[in-house]
Amino acid sequence: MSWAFDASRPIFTQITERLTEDILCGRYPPGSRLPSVRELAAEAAVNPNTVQRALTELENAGLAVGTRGAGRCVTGDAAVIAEAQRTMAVRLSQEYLQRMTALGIGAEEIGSILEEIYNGGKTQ
Amino acid sequence: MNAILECKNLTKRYGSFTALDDVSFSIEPGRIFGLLGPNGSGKTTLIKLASGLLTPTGGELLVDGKHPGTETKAVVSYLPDRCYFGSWMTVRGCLDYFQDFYADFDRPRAEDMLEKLGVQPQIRLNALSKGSREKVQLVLVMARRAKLYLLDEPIGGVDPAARDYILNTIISNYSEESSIIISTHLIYDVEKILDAYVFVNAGRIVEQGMCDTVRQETGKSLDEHFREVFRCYENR
Amino acid sequence: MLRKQIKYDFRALMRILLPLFGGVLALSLLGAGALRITTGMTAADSSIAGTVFTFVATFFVMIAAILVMSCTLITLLIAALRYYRDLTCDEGYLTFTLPVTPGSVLASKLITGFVSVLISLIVTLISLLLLLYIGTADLPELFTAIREGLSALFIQLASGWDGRCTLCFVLAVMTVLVCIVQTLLTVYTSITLGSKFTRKYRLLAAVAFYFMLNLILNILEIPAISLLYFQNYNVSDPLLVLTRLIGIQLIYMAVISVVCFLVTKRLLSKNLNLE
Repeated sequence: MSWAFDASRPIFTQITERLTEDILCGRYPPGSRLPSVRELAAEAAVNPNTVQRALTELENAGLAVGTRGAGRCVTGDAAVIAEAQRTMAVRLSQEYLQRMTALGIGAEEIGSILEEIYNGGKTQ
Repeated sequence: MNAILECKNLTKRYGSFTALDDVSFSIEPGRIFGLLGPNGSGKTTLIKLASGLLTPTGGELLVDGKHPGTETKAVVSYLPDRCYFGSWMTVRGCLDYFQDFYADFDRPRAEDMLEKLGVQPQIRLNALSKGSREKVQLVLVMARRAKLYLLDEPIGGVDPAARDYILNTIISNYSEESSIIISTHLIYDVEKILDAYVFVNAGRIVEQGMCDTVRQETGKSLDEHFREVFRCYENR
Repeated sequence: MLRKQIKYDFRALMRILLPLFGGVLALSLLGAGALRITTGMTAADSSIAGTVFTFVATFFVMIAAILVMSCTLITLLIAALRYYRDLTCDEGYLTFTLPVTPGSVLASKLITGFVSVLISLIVTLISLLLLLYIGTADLPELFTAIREGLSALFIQLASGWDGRCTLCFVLAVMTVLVCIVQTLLTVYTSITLGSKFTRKYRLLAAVAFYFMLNLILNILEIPAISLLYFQNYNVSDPLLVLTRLIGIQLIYMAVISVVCFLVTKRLLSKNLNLE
């Protein structure tokens, strides 16, 4: 997976966001080891200090736990992850709703569109 | 801990021409530092002063707390924007040379990197393409466990694949005890690996700071910010 | 560190000089062969073809002799070229970021240049001997005459040889050695001076500086030589005059060498102009 950065926003923020998404989508399961600073820096082609900062932010958010001398792991606390997933879902939904409102599409229509897509996805 | 590089009111004059004028800043260990500015702004002069090739006219420059001399040269690894090996030398000859003169040269690491590049040790430098020669030189410079790396226009005039290789080599050789100074005018390609920067123009420091702070505060990339700052200078 | 610098400098020089020395020796053998053929032919063949061949062979022998004798000059030029490349061209970026002092850079160049010139002198001598010994094998009368002349000379020298002669001889040898050192240093100083003031024309400037330097040194030698008559002594004794002359030359050249070394060292430390 390649990392694409928007150079007009702080890089460390973008790394945090990307790792958060990876954790919440299960690409890094709870309790699993996160890649080291070096590995991430090499993969993303960014400064290791920036990666360090991003991982610290992840720790502050409770999604990652630093183990002495063995790098960092995803938190094993399922509740924390669930909470974060909910927060992300709410945010994405808010964004979605904002844009739907701007198109002039009301709640009922939204419901039917969603149902269509959902059912369509099932029959495929 | 000592700053790895410290400039205090550093000035360099060539007769009536002032290349650097009252420059002051310092670099902590563990930084990848951008020395950014247009051509002729004094970046190369600063790098040469740090590597001991020039002596200051005024002020002072300290590398790891010492004035440039044989002691600092042993801990500073310099990559100029030209090939400095005799073209008749073999790659192995260059490795021997570095190993002989630099105690901090990590030969196994250099050989490993050269192998990955596909460069055979018995090849003469003049049998390699210009791009390969530059990469060999980069490998040798980065394979030293130096305290300060001075890279003068490392990605000028290379293709994107080579540029990625160079940036990756820089990142993978990063260490918390050493610092890397990248001097360039190609900010767009390099800004993601920088953490601190200084803008120079006509021998003076125009601005200095941390890259992510610029992004946070201005909502612009370092490259865009640079253009804005220097547009003012062009209009003066 | 100095030892390592000498090692690499020497390798770089020998890369070019060994083929040169080999070529000179080969040339002297060829010349000797040509000489033999010529001498062999003049006696037997007086036809036109023979005359032409003799002419060509003689010409070849002359060229060979000239080239053999310029071997040392070429060696000096190559040492100068390596100094120029390693200290004022792109390779200077490597030379001056090594953890060594500019003084030891200069010392290494001096030592390797000196040894190279000595070797070239030996090679020249051997080549000339080969040329003469093999080449004149068909002219035993010439060779015998030379040998007898030399033997007579040696006998005469040995009969009157004493401590003063030894002193003179030793001083003469030392003078030759110091002369090599001084020549190298004046060349090096000229190259460094040449690159100090101009970047594009540094080679031309170096040549100009060399001529100027030599002119000045030659002029300054005149008052130095006047020291010959410093004390009242028996001017009619040729050996004493000779010894004094050589001694003054020796001291003069040694002083010049030291001055050149210190000046160049200072220039390399403070005024490096790589671009």
